[in-house]
Amino acid sequence: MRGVLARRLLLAVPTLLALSFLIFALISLAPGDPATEYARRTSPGGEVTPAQVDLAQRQLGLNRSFVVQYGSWLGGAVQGRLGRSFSRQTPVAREIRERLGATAELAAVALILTVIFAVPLGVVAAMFHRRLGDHVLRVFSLVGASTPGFFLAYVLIIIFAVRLKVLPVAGKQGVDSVVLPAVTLAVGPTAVVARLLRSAMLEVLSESYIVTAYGKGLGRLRVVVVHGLRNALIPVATVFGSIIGALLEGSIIAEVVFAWPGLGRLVYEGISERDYPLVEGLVVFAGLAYVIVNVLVDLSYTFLDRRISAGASL
Amino acid sequence: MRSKALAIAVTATMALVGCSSSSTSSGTAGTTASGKSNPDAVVKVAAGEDQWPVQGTGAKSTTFAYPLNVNVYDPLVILGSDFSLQPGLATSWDFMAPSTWRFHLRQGVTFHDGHPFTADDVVWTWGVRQVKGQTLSTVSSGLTPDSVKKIDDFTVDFTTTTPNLRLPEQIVHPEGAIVENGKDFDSSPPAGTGPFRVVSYQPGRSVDLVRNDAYWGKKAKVKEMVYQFLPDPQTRVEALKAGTVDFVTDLPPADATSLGKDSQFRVVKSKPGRNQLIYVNKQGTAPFDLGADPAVRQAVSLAIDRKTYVDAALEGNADPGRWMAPQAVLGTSAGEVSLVPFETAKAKSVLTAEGWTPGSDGIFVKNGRRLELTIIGWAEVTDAGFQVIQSDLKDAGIALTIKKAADTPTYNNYYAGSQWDLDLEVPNQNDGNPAFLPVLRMYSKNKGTQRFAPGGAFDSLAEQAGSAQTRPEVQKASADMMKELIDTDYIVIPLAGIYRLYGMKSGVNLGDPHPSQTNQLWLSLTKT
Repeated sequence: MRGVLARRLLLAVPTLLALSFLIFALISLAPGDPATEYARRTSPGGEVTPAQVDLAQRQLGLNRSFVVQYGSWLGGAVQGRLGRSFSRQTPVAREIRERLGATAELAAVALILTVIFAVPLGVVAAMFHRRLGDHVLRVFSLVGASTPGFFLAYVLIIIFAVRLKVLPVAGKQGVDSVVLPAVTLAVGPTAVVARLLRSAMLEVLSESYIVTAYGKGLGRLRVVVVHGLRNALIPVATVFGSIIGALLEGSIIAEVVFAWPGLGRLVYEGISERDYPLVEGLVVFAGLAYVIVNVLVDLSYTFLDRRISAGASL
Repeated sequence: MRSKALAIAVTATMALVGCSSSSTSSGTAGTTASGKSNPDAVVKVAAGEDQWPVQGTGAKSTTFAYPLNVNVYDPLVILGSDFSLQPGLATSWDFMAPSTWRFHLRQGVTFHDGHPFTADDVVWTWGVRQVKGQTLSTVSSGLTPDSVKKIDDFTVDFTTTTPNLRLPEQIVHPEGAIVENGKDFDSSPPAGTGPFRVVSYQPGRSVDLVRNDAYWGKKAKVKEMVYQFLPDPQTRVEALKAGTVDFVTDLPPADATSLGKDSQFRVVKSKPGRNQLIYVNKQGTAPFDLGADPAVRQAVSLAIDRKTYVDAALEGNADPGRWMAPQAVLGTSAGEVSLVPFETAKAKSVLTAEGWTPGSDGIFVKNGRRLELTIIGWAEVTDAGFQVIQSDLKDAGIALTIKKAADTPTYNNYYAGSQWDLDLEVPNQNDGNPAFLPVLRMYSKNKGTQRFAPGGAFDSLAEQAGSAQTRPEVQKASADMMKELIDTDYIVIPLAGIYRLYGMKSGVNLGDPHPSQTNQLWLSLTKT
């Protein structure tokens, strides 16, 4: 198991290298010059001269070739240094550290909501295949997966904060402030997971061992939950890996609309400021989160299905 | 004291002239605050993005987040809502030839932490912090790290590299508000001397201010202001509707209209403090060189219906554009600048007289070249605004391509690329210098003005404004500059003078909304 884990983590290295290179290249191609933005910040109110832009380029190291810039960034990154934010003049790692807690809190609540709602919905839909419960889930899945996050966010605010006045509109103050952004983040994944679980359950429930379980006289609930759900969770676990990774990356829309001080809002601010090191650091962090979560998901297969050995599954 | 006399004269003149047609108003009929103002009231405010974390710490940071700073930190000279200069931490100021301004400081003032205010704090703020930070005020005012000298505990001299008669008008900007000697924005906001003091601050999230009962000036009418930073404008509006906040800054124009119809809320509008202006590129290279033709510039200016623009792009929350700066800052000289009329037929005749002929699709052609222009604009300019301009110009036989920027860096990139004929900007007037914007953007000896600068007589006017001894003189020179740019050369096309919009519960009122948001003091804010 330990060797397999090491192999998976080693495989993550080229993935992260490719990701960081790609992002570095894409940001460089984006319209807007960070040196000009930096020069404007230090000389606001009017135009900046080419000399000021040149100076800013030297100060920020942007006068070097792309390869040298990337190499320099990479050299720092492997030592845990993600550079300094152009706009804030603070270490990127510190900015990520300060915002990670808020995003992790939001992600955890969203994930819990997803599990609480998606699993029963998927199971019930499978149990009542082609009956009312199933049709309701289909409608929910379609609506949930296709509703834009910003629209859902405003609808939730209007219903629960403006009309019913039971939850705060925005901000991170008190336990209840996490509810609306978490629900906004959870609706899409809930719809997807519930739909996927339904399909997996339908497949599993037609297996011979399920018939055998019924033949042994086991109750329906026990057969479905103990024998059916456990086996149906394997494909769902794969999707959960992606969901958790995305949640840890932070949701730009939810965090901006709800003024949630997390990584998503930091990404938005970094892009708006053409803050290369900040965006680069955040994207690589998100990539790392994806890799780690997916390794953990792979490991979880062995617990979900004992027929799968660590070596075989990984 | 000349400056004081000028301030009084300007104020009196404003009262006589009556300033703008769009005077401060409550947008909601029948929603005057009922009941008595409560001096112990806590006002919860939803404000936009907290600028401080973005600006960074240390000398380069701005003095706390707008529009909070002027309420926590006093400038030497305060900019009144009529753009007059009023004594702040300086009680008077005098010019001493050849290039020194002497400021006499207010005595008996203490910072919120009890530290007494003296000339040392001014030297620190202006001689060290501001100048090293290269902020707006120092760059444009000719100050160096050695410019500010302490004469005694309550007298300081500002000596500029070249004579600067406009210095007191420039240093009203809250960026130059006074910070305690040796203190900076390293981990938390330092103490100020303003009408409110900071109790707690969570960067990017909230700040809690309480009234400074030891304030040297008029005291605030509410006890506490709790700011929540909500970057999304729609979220701010919903927070007001939900009742979680009492007051909203930067109200979107569309919401101002809807809130104004609801008796539970009040919308307060300032007089115009910023303007939407089109600058015409006179020095572009083909195919972006049509702005060099005066007939094209005049036709564009005549072809745009400012009233329709204001209604469509700003939901009527602006005056049709006439000046480059707020009317009030020009005093009685404002009348010298005319409102360019909306005359499509005249626009066409101007072009025809210069040899342009209508093509088969109605777009003018000259020497085989179609009259096609490209416009760029600040990210905040709406699609509706661009479309009105495009439609009006099409009616006048001018084709327009819109290059809309999604954000500021993208706009800056477009601007630097010079592949445009028209540039729609939305500048603010945050200081008391009437010549600020025309000189900044059009004076040929300033950096980066080559695309527009008319030179010649305009430069003489700019220099005249710079050396004007009295307020009416600088106002006159500034109005003359605008007249040349707007009515004669058509290099600047004013579209709209925009109101500041504030939304609030009906029991809350803001009696004196400042056209310059950065100079907005909350002293007239009340809550029942």
